[in-house]
Amino acid sequence: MQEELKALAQAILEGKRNEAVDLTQKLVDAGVTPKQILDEGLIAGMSVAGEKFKNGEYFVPEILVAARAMKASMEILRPLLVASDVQPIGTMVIGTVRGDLHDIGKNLVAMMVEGAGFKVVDLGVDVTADKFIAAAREHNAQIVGMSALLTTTMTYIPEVIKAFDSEGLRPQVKLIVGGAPVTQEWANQIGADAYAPDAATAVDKCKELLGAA
Amino acid sequence: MTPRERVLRAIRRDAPDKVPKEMGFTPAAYERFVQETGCTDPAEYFGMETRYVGFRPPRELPDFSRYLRNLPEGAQLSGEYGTAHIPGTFYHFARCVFPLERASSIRELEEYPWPDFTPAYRHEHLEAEVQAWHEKGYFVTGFAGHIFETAWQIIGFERIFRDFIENPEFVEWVLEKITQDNCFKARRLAEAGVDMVQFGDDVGMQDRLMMRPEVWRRFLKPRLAREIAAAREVRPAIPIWYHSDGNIADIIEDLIEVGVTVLNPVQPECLDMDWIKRRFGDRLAFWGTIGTQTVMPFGKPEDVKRAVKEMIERFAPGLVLAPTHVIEPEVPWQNILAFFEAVEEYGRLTS
Repeated sequence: MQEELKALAQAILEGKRNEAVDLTQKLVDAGVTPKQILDEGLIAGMSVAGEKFKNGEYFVPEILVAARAMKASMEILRPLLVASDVQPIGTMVIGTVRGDLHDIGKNLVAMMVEGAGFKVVDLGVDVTADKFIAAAREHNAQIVGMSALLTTTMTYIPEVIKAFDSEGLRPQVKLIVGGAPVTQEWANQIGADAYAPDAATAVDKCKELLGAA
Repeated sequence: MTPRERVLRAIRRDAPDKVPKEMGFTPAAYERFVQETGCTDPAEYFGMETRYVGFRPPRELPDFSRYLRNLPEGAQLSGEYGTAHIPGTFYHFARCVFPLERASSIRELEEYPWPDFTPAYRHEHLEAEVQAWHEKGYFVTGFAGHIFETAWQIIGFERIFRDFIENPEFVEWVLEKITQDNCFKARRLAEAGVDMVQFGDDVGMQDRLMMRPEVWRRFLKPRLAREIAAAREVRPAIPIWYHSDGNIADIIEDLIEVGVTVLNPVQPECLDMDWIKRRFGDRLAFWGTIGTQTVMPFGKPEDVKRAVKEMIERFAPGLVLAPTHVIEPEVPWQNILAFFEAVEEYGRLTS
């Protein structure tokens, strides 16, 4: 089945959804464990996609079709993973902060972090500190990701960070920030645990934050 | 030197008396302007050189209701292509509803109530408006339309990216329809006597294009080329202005090839400004350059002044100074004043 696993990773990488679904089903039917299909098919494919995004070979379209192929395969795998008690490598809550409605960057991060084996709880756009905190508690998230595209809305990110501080949720919840006007320097100033300039780097940073790199 | 001559010279990189300037405002920043100055016209108050003309809205909008079902309260049509906006919780920001997000066939596209820009009442005023601004000495321009942005606002943002790969015929049909509209608008603006025709599409992210350069070259470049050619059939030497936010370094050479002569907004946070000047400074003029992700909202007035001085030293005479985006609500009033003071202070070019 090694060939099929490789073919699955390749189908994910190329965003061939139907092919990915067929191969996933075939591997399941052949008795390959859902964990192995996840690791050597889905995550392997998304990981190469992430590398290609980082080095400038892949752009938004390629990531979107790869992520959709991954999600389609996950529909088959998810119940099997649950049944065999396979845990995600970590849980991330993610959202675009209050006032801001831009979501393509945040969505790319969510797709790629999910593609690395995390459970991702996407709160969408216009997310308040209260919602971030409630979701982090409810899902026992180790990581919370916040994004803003606008200078008008990025100033809300430090308010969310303060709210996590005053709720006593740090350091067990790590806070990672990003978005067009956000920089490493500013992330340091506001006391974020990590910053990523792009979605592929965000995956590396999330793994580092978990100690799983 | 009239304001018009000043801008015409700047965009030809040909010795204006001083650097022209411009600044746009979001609604909240505009309200602040009114409070601070007691005036209602920033262009007049700050002595901006450029005035705008455009097509009139249609007398009646088509019925888009079957494409926009279950809209929440407060949602409104935005423009005439059927995209609806749902107001957000903060300032002027709104969420888009895409009327053809679920369409899948060309037939559905053919049946869609597309706008019609051709009726005379929509554009017959242009000649007289341009002339009236010219008589007052202003530089006049008009916007011929987006291609990519209009298309994704109809069929969906993530969808258009996937369609570039999975459903190119569908996306090309939409792009083609919009391009025909824009060709008509570009031609009419040129006929009406504007000094420059504006085009644009945000295709840049902070660090690169949103799509592969080859994808842009296949889907968008030839259509932009046709729109520019439509204006130039009427006025072969008319200056052409192109806008994209973000890092578009990979396609600037292509833009020049299809006829762009003025680049906007040239974000200093995204582009290597010295490289831009070195590589394209003899072929393009630059409109913008003052960072709205950094110095305008977060700098001190002296930082704004320093940025203005640096950009003048780097790019003048081929420069129209402007913040790289409309002024957002958080930009300090003192920074707005500092921008105009610095243009006055450092922008005099004649010896």
